[in-house]
This record gives sequence, structure tokens and C-alpha cells, in this order.
Amino acid sequence: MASIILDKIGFTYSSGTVHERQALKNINLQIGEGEFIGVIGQTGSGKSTLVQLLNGLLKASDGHIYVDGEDIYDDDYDLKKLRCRVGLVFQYPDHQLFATTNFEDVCFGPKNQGLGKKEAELRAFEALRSVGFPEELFYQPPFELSGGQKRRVAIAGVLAMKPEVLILDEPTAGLDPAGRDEILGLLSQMRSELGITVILVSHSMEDVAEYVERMIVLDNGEILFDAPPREVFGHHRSLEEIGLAAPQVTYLMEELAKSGMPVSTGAVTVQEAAQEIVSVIGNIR
Amino acid sequence: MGIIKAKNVVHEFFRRDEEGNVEAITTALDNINLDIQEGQFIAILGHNGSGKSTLAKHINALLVPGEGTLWVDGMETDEEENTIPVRKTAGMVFQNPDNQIIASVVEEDVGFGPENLGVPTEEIKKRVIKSLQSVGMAEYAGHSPNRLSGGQKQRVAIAGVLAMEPKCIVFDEPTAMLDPGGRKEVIDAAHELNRKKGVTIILITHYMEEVTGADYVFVMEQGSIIMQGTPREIFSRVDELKEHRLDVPQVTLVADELRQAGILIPAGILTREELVEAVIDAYGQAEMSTGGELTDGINYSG
Repeated sequence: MASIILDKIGFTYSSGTVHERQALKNINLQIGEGEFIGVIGQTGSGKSTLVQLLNGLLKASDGHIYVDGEDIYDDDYDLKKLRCRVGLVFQYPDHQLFATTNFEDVCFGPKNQGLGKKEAELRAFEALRSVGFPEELFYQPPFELSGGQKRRVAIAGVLAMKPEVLILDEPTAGLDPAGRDEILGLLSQMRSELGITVILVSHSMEDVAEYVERMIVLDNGEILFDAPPREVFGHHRSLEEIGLAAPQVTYLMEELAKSGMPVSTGAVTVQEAAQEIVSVIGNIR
Repeated sequence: MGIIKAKNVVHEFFRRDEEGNVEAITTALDNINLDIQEGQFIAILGHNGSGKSTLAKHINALLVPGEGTLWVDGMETDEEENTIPVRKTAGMVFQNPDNQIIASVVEEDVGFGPENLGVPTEEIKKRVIKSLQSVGMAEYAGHSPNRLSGGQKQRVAIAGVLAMEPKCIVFDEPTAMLDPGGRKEVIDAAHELNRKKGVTIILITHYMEEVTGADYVFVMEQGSIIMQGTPREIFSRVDELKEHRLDVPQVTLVADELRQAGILIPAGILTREELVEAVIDAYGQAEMSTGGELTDGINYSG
């Protein structure tokens, strides 16, 4: 399993031209095995650049990335292998699915890894099953699927390569609540069953609060916070300044405290908030 | 008759094999009846695949009913000569702003619609400025859309629809791709158009939080309307919403959990302010009756 270290990473788009823009500045991160991390930030904060650096799609302008102690920018480092170990699921599944059937689409990754047809098909079968994709749709074309199903196929396509780190860029954008819970539940389950590291890029604070253990907040190419959700959402004023927000319940608890009710603030999920209110009212007895 | 009226509308998608024989039929709309009055703010909720977007496409005559009739401002959408007038009446904003912005300068993009409708140049200029102003994007008129944030792009897309001066705008999940700030920008813009210009708004969304400001809500599942009412009526039916696996605003969920724990909280709580008030009330009552029996305060059993 992979551990990743980012050492003073910087990234500049269109370097040396009038469009030069520094997307990331001095990023230092250590990502351990089996972590569940949420990366949040406004559009343009550098989230997508960061995840593309992690699997070698982009090369940093400054600094080094070490995967299991090896510098991925060394001349003899096998980037292709890195991309199999660190799988990336893009934001729009439509951009990622291209084969004539869903099954073929999922086979593409493992085949590209150099596996034989049989092995690749076995992997595809396993991957589609593990994302709960209905068998009767295996041999249908991807473009007929709903948004949620397309996303499952896209995730299966990456899973079939058996990555050690799975990065998902906005995996729930455009999904309905049921689809969202399914995909997030699936990720959480895969992480505990397969022991893979999951990195989730998200706009949805509610999703992040519910599932991840560690939140990395990016602002303008820099890390603003790197802490557990509860701690990060405690700084909700700074989050609002950069166009983000804490979950609704966090505000609810603060307002209750302000109105004179002795509740402890800092709840980030519905359950936590309800429990706290019930126990405060219950304690009066 | 309201501005949009559907009577027994049915829409089926056919999947055909290589010889063109029908392999499978999916009923996307199954006997839809509704009547939307001019100036209303309507929200349509439902899962992916519930038929929401198919319904939206009917309002814009991108699709026409297989059975039944749909009228937009009194015009039957399945009459071919009505297609263009229907589209002038009912504009549409889609989910992904990148798919609907075509020009390289914001004002050109907004002018594209009216230009296509054959509006005179002087008039187009006026409309572009007015439309951009009403979504708060006037200062970006000369900018390239590429550099805008998602929320800004979506507002430009709305301005593009506005410039055609529709009586009604259908928003098909306009915020699904946006961050919280962008989501708020777009929803606020929709409400403002409704309030200030009287544009009828039909908002299709997954986000329950965005529904709370609507006049009336339709909930769709498997091509049918399964619930309808004011937001308060809809959100007081938490169990039903959960059963249909729909999302409920976090405050409504907290209120529901508290009720289940025996705390007296009224049904149909929609906003944070309402919940804070209700909880403080319940807390005050519990405090007043300390030591004594809690008859109407709470029944706490861990």
C-alpha cells in the first residue's frame, strides 16, 4: 500500500506566458495508507490540479512527490505504474466512458495494464459487482445510463486496475441524494474492505462531514486547513470568506448556544446535533 | 388555464435493436397532470431517472407527448408551428454551464439567443445589458466566459435565456455542478427574476434546501407525480420522503429526530430560525417544569 509525501510542491500553468497562473504554492502533505481524506475548496482553488499531480498526470513546477519513498520525478520512475496504483475518477463520467458497452469500458484499464483478456474480464466483472452495477446493464452502451450508473461504471473502470489510492473528483456532483449516499457508502466500504486510501474532492460540506476523517481545505493554491472535519468546521467564518460553508447543523448549534441554551457547539452531522439537544433537555430532569 | 398545463401526458422511450425492432420501452412520463399559473415559483424534485428532465424538455418542446397534451401559454407543444413560439415563451437553463456557453465574450453569448430570433441589433444591445444587469453580471460583459467561476457562468447562461424575454424559465438542475457559493448565486438570481420581473420559474433540483423558497413543489418518481403541495406540507411528511429516498433539509431532519425523542417540535420545520425558536421553546418549557412532572415538555428515555 502506498504512502505519499508532497514536499514543497508548486504548480504554475502556462509558465512564461501572459496567462501564467500559479495554481499551487508550497504544498506540504503526508498521506498515509488507508486514510479517508476530503479535499475542499472553491472552484479555482487548486483542488483538481492537486489530484492530477498525485497520479502524475501533471508534473509539479517545484518540489518533489515521494510515493513509498521513491521520487516520482526521477528519470527512471515508472509513471505508468504510478497511474495504476493511484487511480483517478474524473468529475464528468461522460468524459471518461468511451467503449461501446459498459463491460468493455471497465476492461480497458486492466487490459492497458498488460493483463490478458481473461484476467481483465474477471477484474471487470469483479469491479462492476463491487460497485453494485446491475448485471443486465453490463452489455449496454454507457451513454444510455443515468448519471449515477455512469459514475459507477467510471469508478469500476478505475477499481478494475486494483489501485492502492483512489482519487475521485466531485464523485457526487449531479447525483440525487440516494445516488450520493450509495456512492459515498460504497467508497467508505471499499476503503475498509480493501484497505485503499480514498481521496474525495468535493463541494458538499455535508458529504465531507459525514464520511471523511481528514479534511484538506485549499484556498488560492495554498492549504488553509488540514484537520478533522469537526475542527475545520469550527473555523466556519474563515470558510465563508472563501466561499465555502459549514454544514447547516453546525450553524444551528451555534445559534442555540447564542440563544442561551447550554449546548456544546461543533456538531457536524444531524445525529450529533440531535443527540446533543436531546441530552441537554433531558439533563434538566 | 395556467401558463403550463399538462393533461394525461405520457412519454415513452423506445430502445431498438439493429433491425429497428423495439427491444424495450421505458415510460419516462406516466400520466402527468399539472397546471402552473403565471408568476409562480415551482420546484420539481425527484431522483435521477424519475422523469424530471423529460418533463422539462416537454415544456421547451424539445420533446412532445406521446399521449395527452401539454400547453405552454395556451399553445399545444405537439403542433409543429408552435415549436418556436413555445421556445420563446419557455426558456431553459441546463445543468452544465460549459455546455451552453458558446461565444468567446460574455455579451456575445447573451446576444446569441435574441439574434437567432431576428431581434434588431439596437434592441439586442439593450436586452444584453438589461439581462446581464438582472443577474448581476454587467461588469463582466466584455470578459471571456472561460475565466468565470461556475456560478458566474451559470448566471451568464441565465442572462442568455433572459435576453429572449421568456415568460417562463425552466432550470434543469442548474446548481448540480456548483460550489455552495455558486449555488446560492444562481438560486438567488432565479428568485429575483420571479419577484421583480414576474417570470414563472420551474426549478428542477436534488437539493431540498433550494426548494424551501418555492410556492409549490411536485415530487416525481418513476414518471409520476407522487407528492405535491407547499414546501411546508411536503417537508412535514418526513417519513414518506425518506421512504422515497429523497433528501430532507438537515434542520428538518434534526426536528424529526427531536420529535421522535419526545421533544415537542412542530411539524414542517423548514428553516434554521424556525428550529432554533422551537428548540428554545421546548428548552424553556423543560426548565420551567424542573423537578416536577414533565407533562408536555419531554419524555426522555435515553
